[in-house]
Amino acid sequence: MSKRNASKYDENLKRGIKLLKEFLSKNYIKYIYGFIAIIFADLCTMLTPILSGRIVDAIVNTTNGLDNLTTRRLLLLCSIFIGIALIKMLANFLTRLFVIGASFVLDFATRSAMFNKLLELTMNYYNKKSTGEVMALSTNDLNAVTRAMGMGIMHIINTIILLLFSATYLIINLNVTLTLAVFIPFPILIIIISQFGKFIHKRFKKVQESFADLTGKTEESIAGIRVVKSFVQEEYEIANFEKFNEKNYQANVALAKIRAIFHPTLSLLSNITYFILLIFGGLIAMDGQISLGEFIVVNGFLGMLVRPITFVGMIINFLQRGKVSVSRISELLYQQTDIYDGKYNKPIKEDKLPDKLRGDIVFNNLSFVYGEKKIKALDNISINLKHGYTLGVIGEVGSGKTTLVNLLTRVFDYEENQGQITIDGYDIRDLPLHYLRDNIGYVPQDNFLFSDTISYNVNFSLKQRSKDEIADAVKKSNVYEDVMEFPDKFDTLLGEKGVNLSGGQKQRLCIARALIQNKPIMIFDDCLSAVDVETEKEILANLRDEREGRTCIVIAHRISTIKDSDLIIVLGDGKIIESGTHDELISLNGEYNKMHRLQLMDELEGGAAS
Amino acid sequence: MTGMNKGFRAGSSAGRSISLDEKQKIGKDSLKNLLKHAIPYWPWFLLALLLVTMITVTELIRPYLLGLAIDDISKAISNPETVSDYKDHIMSLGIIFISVAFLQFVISYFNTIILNVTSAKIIKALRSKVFAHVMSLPFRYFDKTPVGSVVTRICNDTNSINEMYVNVLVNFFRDIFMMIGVIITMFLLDVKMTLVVLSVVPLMAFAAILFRKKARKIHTSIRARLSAINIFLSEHISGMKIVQLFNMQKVKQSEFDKINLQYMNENKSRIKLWGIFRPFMEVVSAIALALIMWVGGKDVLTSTISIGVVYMFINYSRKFFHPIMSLTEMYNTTQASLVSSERIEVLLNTLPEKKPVSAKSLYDSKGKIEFKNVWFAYDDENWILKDVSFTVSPGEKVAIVGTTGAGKTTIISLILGFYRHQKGDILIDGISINDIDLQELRKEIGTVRQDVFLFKGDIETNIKLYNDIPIEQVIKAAKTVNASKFINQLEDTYKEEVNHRGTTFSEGQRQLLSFARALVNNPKILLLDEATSSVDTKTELLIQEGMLQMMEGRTSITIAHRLSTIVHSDEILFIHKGRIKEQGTHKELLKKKGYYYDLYTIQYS
Repeated sequence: MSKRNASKYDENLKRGIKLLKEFLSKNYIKYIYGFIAIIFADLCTMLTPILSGRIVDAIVNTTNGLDNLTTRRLLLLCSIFIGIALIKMLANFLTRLFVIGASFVLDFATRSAMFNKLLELTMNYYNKKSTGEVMALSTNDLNAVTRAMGMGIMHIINTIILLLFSATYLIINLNVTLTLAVFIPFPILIIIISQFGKFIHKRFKKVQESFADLTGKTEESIAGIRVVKSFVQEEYEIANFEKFNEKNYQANVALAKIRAIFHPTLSLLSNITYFILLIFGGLIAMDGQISLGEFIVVNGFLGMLVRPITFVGMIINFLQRGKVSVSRISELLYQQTDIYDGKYNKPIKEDKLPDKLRGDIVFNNLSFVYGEKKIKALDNISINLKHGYTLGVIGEVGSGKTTLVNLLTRVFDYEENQGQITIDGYDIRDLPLHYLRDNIGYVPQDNFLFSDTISYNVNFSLKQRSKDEIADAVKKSNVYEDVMEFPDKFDTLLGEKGVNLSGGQKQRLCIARALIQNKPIMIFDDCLSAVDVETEKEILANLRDEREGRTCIVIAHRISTIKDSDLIIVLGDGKIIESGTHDELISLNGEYNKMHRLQLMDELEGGAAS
Repeated sequence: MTGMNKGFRAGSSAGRSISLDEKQKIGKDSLKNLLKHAIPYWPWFLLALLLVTMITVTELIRPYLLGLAIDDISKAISNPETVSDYKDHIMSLGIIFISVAFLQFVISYFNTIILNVTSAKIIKALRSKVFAHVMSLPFRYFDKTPVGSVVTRICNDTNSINEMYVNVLVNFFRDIFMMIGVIITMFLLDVKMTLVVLSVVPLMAFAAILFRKKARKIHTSIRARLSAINIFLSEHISGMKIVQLFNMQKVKQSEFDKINLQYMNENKSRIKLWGIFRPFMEVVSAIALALIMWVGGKDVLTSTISIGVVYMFINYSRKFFHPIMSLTEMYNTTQASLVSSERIEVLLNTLPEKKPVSAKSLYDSKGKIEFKNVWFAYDDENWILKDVSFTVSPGEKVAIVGTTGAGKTTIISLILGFYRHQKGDILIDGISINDIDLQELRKEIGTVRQDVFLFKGDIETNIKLYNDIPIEQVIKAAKTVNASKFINQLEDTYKEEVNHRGTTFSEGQRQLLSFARALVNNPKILLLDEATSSVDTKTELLIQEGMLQMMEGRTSITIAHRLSTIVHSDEILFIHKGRIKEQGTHKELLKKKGYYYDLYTIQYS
């Protein structure tokens, strides 16, 4: 860890602990109830050996004629065991309910807060983090925190209380030297466990890393299976897999070796305490310094303490992992979103805005620079798009087409002094974010749909629309017949657990999803690439009616998609290279014309067409 | 192990629906299947069992020695004059005690090592077996199965079986041995007291059975809820832009909170269940303790047994009850392992790609391809190819055109032997594809797929893959297909790092790399699925040139989208809805004014 990362970790940890404190201040009562229950449970745990000792002493004294233990008194004493156990059962139940129950409330609240934050964060965040990384926060990390705040706290409190109570009892009521002698191995035990814990943790991490590598390799081999098979690489893949498999095996064996020493060492040490009791306690009992019953009490206490103490290592591990995870989670929770209302000026109040925007869009000397590498994605773009007009955007991959609409929808924000986008004269950054987006219908490039029903995906808004409206939108985007072929029609589930759609079907459903929203501004981001030419023609014909009265931006690779636009711009390296109508651009005889010819076939090769 | 749920997204290949039932039925053979992987290692397990037996004996000796010590103390108290004898005796007990403890230490150590290492070996071997089997599976399997679930089979399910061997199997025997050992010891010590201890067993067994039923239900349900959360999260992280642009944050938050709440509630039920079960078992063992103390106490008063024996019974009863609890709790791990084992079994029983009984050699392949009345369907009768016949002579360039879903890609897949045609025949150099060893066949073919898959590594290995090919040949291939220009501009040229999925390379660069990959083996046949996704004009020209260079002197079949590719072909097949509708050169087909002409005018004019 570099110094910078270390201080970042500390800061996140501090904030994370602050969050935990906030949680505790709201839920402390649960923990207090839990601790009271633990105290009761521990008292009961201690009472059992004490009672056994008393009974033994009474029996021994009776046989030696010093006491008179009647059968009735014996029965009474013995039935107390059951009474103690019942109280302990209740106490234990309540402990778990309060403490571990509270930890799951924390689990719920944190996961919910995390998702809430995820909903707020922008592409700036998601471009930096992989899905797996973010998921791990909700699974592994949150799990570690929940365990630390539940099981971890419960066991640690339990162990401390037991140790304190039993030591106090022994010192007050019994021989101090014996108590000390028997308790000597405990601190050693704790030290050994925590040292071992570090070793085990290290090797465990190696196991996890090698497992992650193995999984990564496997995932790649399977995802690339078509290449592997086409190029007859199976045997090499197997050999390569073997390497990762072997590494994982070695890591596991290394872990096993240290684990194999760990547990026997623990039981050896606990046996040594019994040995001390046996020799030392046995001898002083014979000398009459302690009674037989007291010998049995100490013996019982040892039995009661050994288990929690061997847990200490595990719990320290829990707490340590919890700490690291808290810091990671708080990093997410304190993540600043970079696009929000009031980032620049106070947004205009909605009651001062029209219900719907008209859709006069002006890009004014707009420039945009991406990320740390400072790639210029847009360079001085000016477009004046009147209400009801369609803008066609075409250009090479990476020429800035998608950036243009990402700035319009405020997926990214352009910097100060880098130009301006206005709609109906409002700077888009002065409009409330959700109002702006409420006025824009969007069909994405990556045709993303959710694993829910078709009607959920098409409807996709707060408003519940009628079946007819949904069917209508689906018809307009030319996917109605496909939908009707599915067994459950509009109720067909999509995604892994349902039907896998073809790319073209997905794109058309995405179009339906945007159409149904009935927005004054529509953006189609290269959304017809996976449908064939004929279908494209039909969809375009349908859209022609839909575009009436709306401002549209259509991004495409195929010229046929944007041919009819009122204005076409050709982007290259973030600049507008050419602009005009289709015919104008053709007669301009520039890039557009070249693209057009390439797509048709250039004159030499296309000789056959004449 | 922490769950390694990385949430793999399944490749969006292949259309048909998948419903993998995660709750596979667990048959009688499950346990047998699970254990059979251990058969080659049986001597080690036998040794482990022997050691476990020894550990059990040492465990049983300890309370016995303590009981004897207690009797010594009690006798010493009643007869103070013999104290020194008893002191000597207790010292020797102590020495035996500590010796036994050391013995147990050594045995436990070796036992753990043997078990863990053997188990790791089993898992390693099983993993290799499963992976090798997966590599041999036919394409239909990968069409139907998401990548993530195959990975889970190979990595996670094998891990869960490891749990079974290391923890469950041996603890199971340890628990059983312990129970048997305790019963024998108790009977040898005192029959009446033994019966007293055993009298609470029915109560315990009843509770255990009840618990097991409930626990199974709750645990299954928790797993399901957790996986629902994971699926939801991974999907919404990928689709966050859509959620935000459609202003759906509030809806999504409440959808998420709903499943999150269900998860919490299931967990609370689990807490309650466990909060009752374990303490209840303690109540039962307290009943046993009370009975032992009462019955034993009376007998001590009448001097029928010694106080040391009563102590032994208290200890032995605990050692007897503990296995009952742990056996009950073990059930969950077993269940998970059994499910994993069953899944692996299903995978291993999936038939691999067929190998011809007596393969004819493709020695010195010419590269002639013939389709004779080929019919093909992915499922029973939904014909994708209908009566397709054509011949490609060695060195000929053939272009396939047609609308999406016409069956173009299927033709290429069939030539590669990814699927078996149902009717007709496909001949390579006059030999039926059914009689050719598929691996040998594929070695003669270079393929380029629409979506280029890059492996983690460097440029060189991405071109030559794992084949033993000198770098000169790699460079030559890259030059031929126009890839060398951009490669030479990279900092480390051919050693330039390629990350996971090669995301640092542009679409055009990826395509050029895949051309080089197809060419580097100098194949007789090229099968090209031309990429539709457009790249910039300059790269486009590079790609076109590269393709033409590649095809020189080879038999090639190209699914063509670019007109330039089409006009350079010796022959064009126009396919519509699984049938070859038209066949001929570009000029011939245009003259026909048929399907091809229509497509041509729509697309290019």
